[in-house]
Amino acid sequence: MITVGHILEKKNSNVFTIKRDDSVQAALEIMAREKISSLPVVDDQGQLIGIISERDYIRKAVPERKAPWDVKVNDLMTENVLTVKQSDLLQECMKIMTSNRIRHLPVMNDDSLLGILSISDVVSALRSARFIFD
Amino acid sequence: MSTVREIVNGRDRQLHSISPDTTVQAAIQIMSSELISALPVMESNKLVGIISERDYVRKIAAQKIPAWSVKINEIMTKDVITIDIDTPIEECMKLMTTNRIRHLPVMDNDELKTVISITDVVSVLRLDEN
Repeated sequence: MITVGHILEKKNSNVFTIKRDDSVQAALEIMAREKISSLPVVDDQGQLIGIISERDYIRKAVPERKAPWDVKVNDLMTENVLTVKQSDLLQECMKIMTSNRIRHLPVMNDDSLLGILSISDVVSALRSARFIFD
Repeated sequence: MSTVREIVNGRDRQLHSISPDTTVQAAIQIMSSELISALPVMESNKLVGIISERDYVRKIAAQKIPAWSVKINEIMTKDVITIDIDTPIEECMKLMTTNRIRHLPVMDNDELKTVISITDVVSVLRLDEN
Protein backbone atom coordinates (compact mmCIF):
# COMPACT_ATOMS: atom_id res chain seq x y z
CA MET A 1 0.00 0.00 0.00
CA ILE A 2 1.45 3.32 -1.07
CA THR A 3 0.99 6.24 1.31
CA VAL A 4 1.43 9.97 0.88
CA GLY A 5 4.47 9.71 3.16
CA HIS A 6 6.18 7.27 0.76
CA ILE A 7 5.71 9.62 -2.18
CA LEU A 8 6.79 12.71 -0.25
CA GLU A 9 10.05 11.01 0.80
CA LYS A 10 11.17 10.96 -2.82
CA LYS A 11 10.49 14.64 -3.37
CA ASN A 12 12.66 17.69 -2.92
CA SER A 13 11.90 18.84 0.61
CA ASN A 14 11.81 22.59 -0.16
CA VAL A 15 8.34 24.02 0.33
CA PHE A 16 7.82 27.44 -1.23
CA THR A 17 5.04 29.57 0.26
CA ILE A 18 3.50 33.02 -0.17
CA LYS A 19 1.57 35.46 2.04
CA ARG A 20 -1.99 36.66 1.40
CA ASP A 21 -0.93 40.33 1.05
CA ASP A 22 1.71 39.58 -1.59
CA SER A 23 0.91 40.38 -5.21
CA VAL A 24 -0.14 37.65 -7.61
CA GLN A 25 2.85 38.78 -9.71
CA ALA A 26 5.18 37.71 -6.89
CA ALA A 27 3.43 34.34 -6.71
CA LEU A 28 3.67 33.78 -10.48
CA GLU A 29 7.37 34.68 -10.44
CA ILE A 30 8.08 32.10 -7.73
CA MET A 31 6.07 29.48 -9.65
CA ALA A 32 7.94 30.25 -12.88
CA ARG A 33 11.37 30.22 -11.20
CA GLU A 34 10.79 27.05 -9.22
CA LYS A 35 8.85 25.33 -12.02
CA ILE A 36 5.84 24.67 -9.82
CA SER A 37 2.18 25.28 -10.54
CA SER A 38 0.75 26.20 -7.16
CA LEU A 39 1.85 27.82 -3.92
CA PRO A 40 0.49 27.31 -0.42
CA VAL A 41 -0.51 30.58 1.26
CA VAL A 42 0.61 30.91 4.90
CA ASP A 43 0.03 33.48 7.66
CA ASP A 44 2.76 35.11 9.76
CA GLN A 45 2.92 32.03 11.99
CA GLY A 46 3.46 29.79 8.97
CA GLN A 47 -0.03 28.27 9.21
CA LEU A 48 -1.68 27.20 5.96
CA ILE A 49 -4.57 29.53 5.09
CA GLY A 50 -4.99 28.93 1.35
CA ILE A 51 -3.53 27.81 -1.94
CA ILE A 52 -3.02 29.69 -5.21
CA SER A 53 -2.35 28.11 -8.60
CA GLU A 54 -1.50 29.12 -12.18
CA ARG A 55 -5.07 28.17 -12.98
CA ASP A 56 -6.54 30.53 -10.33
CA TYR A 57 -4.89 33.48 -12.02
CA ILE A 58 -6.03 32.46 -15.50
CA ARG A 59 -9.60 31.60 -14.54
CA LYS A 60 -10.30 34.33 -11.99
CA ALA A 61 -8.24 37.36 -13.07
CA VAL A 62 -7.79 37.03 -16.83
CA PRO A 63 -11.51 37.35 -17.75
CA GLU A 64 -11.59 40.62 -15.80
CA ARG A 65 -8.38 41.74 -17.52
CA LYS A 66 -6.63 42.23 -14.20
CA ALA A 67 -2.83 42.48 -14.36
CA PRO A 68 -1.06 40.19 -11.86
CA TRP A 69 0.63 43.13 -10.14
CA ASP A 70 -2.77 44.71 -9.45
CA VAL A 71 -4.18 41.69 -7.66
CA LYS A 72 -3.33 40.29 -4.24
CA VAL A 73 -2.92 36.61 -3.51
CA ASN A 74 -5.79 37.01 -1.06
CA ASP A 75 -8.18 37.89 -3.90
CA LEU A 76 -7.56 34.73 -5.92
CA MET A 77 -6.54 32.05 -3.45
CA THR A 78 -8.72 29.09 -2.54
CA GLU A 79 -9.37 29.28 1.20
CA ASN A 80 -11.04 25.97 1.92
CA VAL A 81 -7.98 23.92 1.10
CA LEU A 82 -8.30 20.16 0.79
CA THR A 83 -5.28 18.55 2.46
CA VAL A 84 -3.93 15.06 3.11
CA LYS A 85 -1.83 13.41 5.84
CA GLN A 86 1.30 11.30 5.43
CA SER A 87 -0.62 8.17 6.38
CA ASP A 88 -3.29 8.68 3.71
CA LEU A 89 -3.30 6.21 0.83
CA LEU A 90 -2.55 6.97 -2.79
CA GLN A 91 -6.09 5.88 -3.76
CA GLU A 92 -7.56 8.53 -1.50
CA CYS A 93 -5.44 11.24 -3.17
CA MET A 94 -6.51 10.03 -6.62
CA LYS A 95 -10.14 10.27 -5.57
CA ILE A 96 -9.79 13.76 -4.07
CA MET A 97 -7.89 15.07 -7.09
CA THR A 98 -10.17 13.66 -9.77
CA SER A 99 -13.50 14.35 -8.07
CA ASN A 100 -12.55 17.93 -7.23
CA ARG A 101 -10.50 18.44 -10.42
CA ILE A 102 -7.50 19.72 -8.49
CA ARG A 103 -3.84 18.95 -9.16
CA HIS A 104 -2.20 19.83 -5.84
CA LEU A 105 -2.75 18.67 -2.28
CA PRO A 106 -0.87 20.14 0.70
CA VAL A 107 0.42 17.41 3.02
CA MET A 108 -0.08 18.21 6.70
CA ASN A 109 1.24 16.82 9.96
CA ASP A 110 -1.28 18.28 12.41
CA ASP A 111 -0.93 22.01 11.76
CA SER A 112 2.40 21.96 10.01
CA LEU A 113 2.79 21.94 6.25
CA LEU A 114 5.16 19.18 5.11
CA GLY A 115 4.94 19.56 1.36
CA ILE A 116 2.73 19.51 -1.70
CA LEU A 117 1.63 16.39 -3.53
CA SER A 118 0.98 17.04 -7.23
CA ILE A 119 -0.98 14.93 -9.68
CA SER A 120 2.31 14.28 -11.51
CA ASP A 121 3.72 12.80 -8.27
CA VAL A 122 0.64 10.58 -8.12
CA VAL A 123 1.10 9.34 -11.68
CA SER A 124 4.82 8.70 -11.08
CA ALA A 125 3.95 6.62 -8.00
CA LEU A 126 1.25 4.75 -9.94
CA ARG A 127 3.75 3.75 -12.60
CA SER A 128 5.52 1.57 -10.06
CA ALA A 129 2.28 0.13 -8.68
CA ARG A 130 -0.17 -2.43 -9.95
CA PHE A 131 -3.47 -1.06 -11.04
CA ILE A 132 -6.62 -2.06 -12.82
CA PHE A 133 -8.94 -0.01 -14.96
CA ASP A 134 -12.47 1.07 -14.20
CA MET B 1 -4.94 -3.86 -22.18
CA SER B 2 -6.60 -0.47 -21.71
CA THR B 3 -5.79 2.19 -24.23
CA VAL B 4 -6.21 5.92 -24.63
CA ARG B 5 -9.38 5.15 -26.63
CA GLU B 6 -11.17 4.31 -23.35
CA ILE B 7 -10.51 7.79 -22.02
CA VAL B 8 -11.61 9.42 -25.28
CA ASN B 9 -14.76 7.31 -25.65
CA GLY B 10 -15.90 8.01 -22.13
CA ARG B 11 -16.52 11.67 -22.71
CA ASP B 12 -18.24 14.19 -24.85
CA ARG B 13 -16.11 17.28 -25.04
CA GLN B 14 -15.77 19.73 -27.86
CA LEU B 15 -12.28 20.12 -29.33
CA HIS B 16 -11.08 23.70 -29.08
CA SER B 17 -8.06 24.90 -31.03
CA ILE B 18 -6.42 28.16 -32.04
CA SER B 19 -4.32 29.52 -34.90
CA PRO B 20 -0.60 30.34 -34.40
CA ASP B 21 -1.09 33.94 -35.59
CA THR B 22 -3.58 34.75 -32.84
CA THR B 23 -2.53 36.61 -29.71
CA VAL B 24 -1.76 34.85 -26.44
CA GLN B 25 -4.55 36.92 -24.91
CA ALA B 26 -7.09 35.15 -27.16
CA ALA B 27 -5.73 31.76 -26.12
CA ILE B 28 -6.01 32.45 -22.41
CA GLN B 29 -9.51 33.87 -22.82
CA ILE B 30 -10.57 30.55 -24.40
CA MET B 31 -8.81 28.50 -21.71
CA SER B 32 -10.47 30.61 -19.04
CA SER B 33 -14.00 30.47 -20.46
CA GLU B 34 -13.89 26.81 -21.50
CA LEU B 35 -12.17 25.69 -18.28
CA ILE B 36 -9.33 23.97 -20.11
CA SER B 37 -5.61 24.15 -19.41
CA ALA B 38 -4.07 23.64 -22.83
CA LEU B 39 -5.04 24.42 -26.42
CA PRO B 40 -3.80 22.69 -29.56
CA VAL B 41 -2.53 25.13 -32.18
CA MET B 42 -3.74 24.33 -35.71
CA GLU B 43 -2.73 25.67 -39.11
CA SER B 44 -4.39 24.38 -42.30
CA ASN B 45 -5.90 21.52 -40.30
CA LYS B 46 -2.46 20.41 -39.09
CA LEU B 47 -1.33 20.35 -35.47
CA VAL B 48 1.63 22.76 -35.29
CA GLY B 49 1.90 23.35 -31.55
CA ILE B 50 0.32 23.42 -28.12
CA ILE B 51 -0.07 26.28 -25.64
CA SER B 52 -0.83 25.77 -21.95
CA GLU B 53 -1.63 27.71 -18.78
CA ARG B 54 1.91 26.96 -17.75
CA ASP B 55 3.44 28.44 -20.95
CA TYR B 56 1.49 31.60 -20.31
CA VAL B 57 2.49 31.91 -16.65
CA ARG B 58 6.16 31.09 -17.15
CA LYS B 59 6.88 32.85 -20.43
CA ILE B 60 4.49 35.82 -20.30
CA ALA B 61 2.88 36.70 -16.96
CA ALA B 62 5.95 36.13 -14.79
CA GLN B 63 8.02 38.25 -17.21
CA LYS B 64 5.46 41.09 -17.07
CA ILE B 65 4.86 40.88 -20.82
CA PRO B 66 1.33 41.90 -21.94
CA ALA B 67 -0.49 38.89 -23.40
CA TRP B 68 -1.99 40.91 -26.25
CA SER B 69 1.48 41.87 -27.54
CA VAL B 70 2.66 38.31 -28.18
CA LYS B 71 1.53 35.82 -30.80
CA ILE B 72 0.95 32.21 -29.96
CA ASN B 73 3.67 30.95 -32.31
CA GLU B 74 6.25 32.89 -30.27
CA ILE B 75 5.65 30.92 -27.08
CA MET B 76 3.89 27.67 -28.07
CA THR B 77 5.62 24.32 -27.77
CA LYS B 78 6.35 23.38 -31.37
CA ASP B 79 7.70 19.87 -30.94
CA VAL B 80 4.40 18.54 -29.68
CA ILE B 81 4.42 15.11 -28.09
CA THR B 82 1.27 13.33 -29.26
CA ILE B 83 -0.20 9.92 -28.60
CA ASP B 84 -2.03 7.50 -30.88
CA ILE B 85 -5.55 6.60 -29.75
CA ASP B 86 -4.67 2.88 -29.58
CA THR B 87 -1.66 3.35 -27.29
CA PRO B 88 -1.81 1.66 -23.86
CA ILE B 89 -2.53 4.00 -20.95
CA GLU B 90 0.76 2.92 -19.30
CA GLU B 91 2.63 4.53 -22.20
CA CYS B 92 0.59 7.67 -21.74
CA MET B 93 1.60 7.83 -18.05
CA LYS B 94 5.24 7.35 -19.02
CA LEU B 95 5.13 10.16 -21.61
CA MET B 96 3.52 12.55 -19.14
CA THR B 97 5.85 11.88 -16.22
CA THR B 98 9.14 11.64 -18.12
CA ASN B 99 8.43 14.81 -20.11
CA ARG B 100 6.74 16.58 -17.18
CA ILE B 101 3.67 17.44 -19.26
CA ARG B 102 -0.01 17.29 -18.31
CA HIS B 103 -1.67 17.27 -21.74
CA LEU B 104 -1.34 15.01 -24.75
CA PRO B 105 -3.05 15.56 -28.10
CA VAL B 106 -4.61 12.27 -29.20
CA MET B 107 -4.19 11.30 -32.87
CA ASP B 108 -6.44 8.94 -34.78
CA ASN B 109 -5.12 8.14 -38.28
CA ASP B 110 -2.98 11.29 -38.22
CA GLU B 111 -5.97 13.41 -37.36
CA LEU B 112 -6.25 15.32 -34.06
CA LYS B 113 -9.10 13.76 -32.14
CA THR B 114 -8.88 15.48 -28.74
CA VAL B 115 -6.48 16.48 -25.95
CA ILE B 116 -6.33 14.36 -22.81
CA SER B 117 -5.11 15.65 -19.47
CA ILE B 118 -3.28 13.98 -16.62
CA THR B 119 -6.52 14.23 -14.60
CA ASP B 120 -8.34 12.26 -17.32
CA VAL B 121 -5.68 9.54 -17.00
CA VAL B 122 -5.88 9.32 -13.22
CA SER B 123 -9.70 9.19 -13.47
CA VAL B 124 -9.65 5.84 -15.29
CA LEU B 125 -7.10 4.16 -13.01
CA ARG B 126 -7.90 2.09 -9.97
CA LEU B 127 -5.16 0.55 -7.84
CA ASP B 128 -5.12 -3.23 -7.58
CA GLU B 129 -4.32 -4.06 -3.95
CA ASN B 130 -4.51 -7.85 -4.41
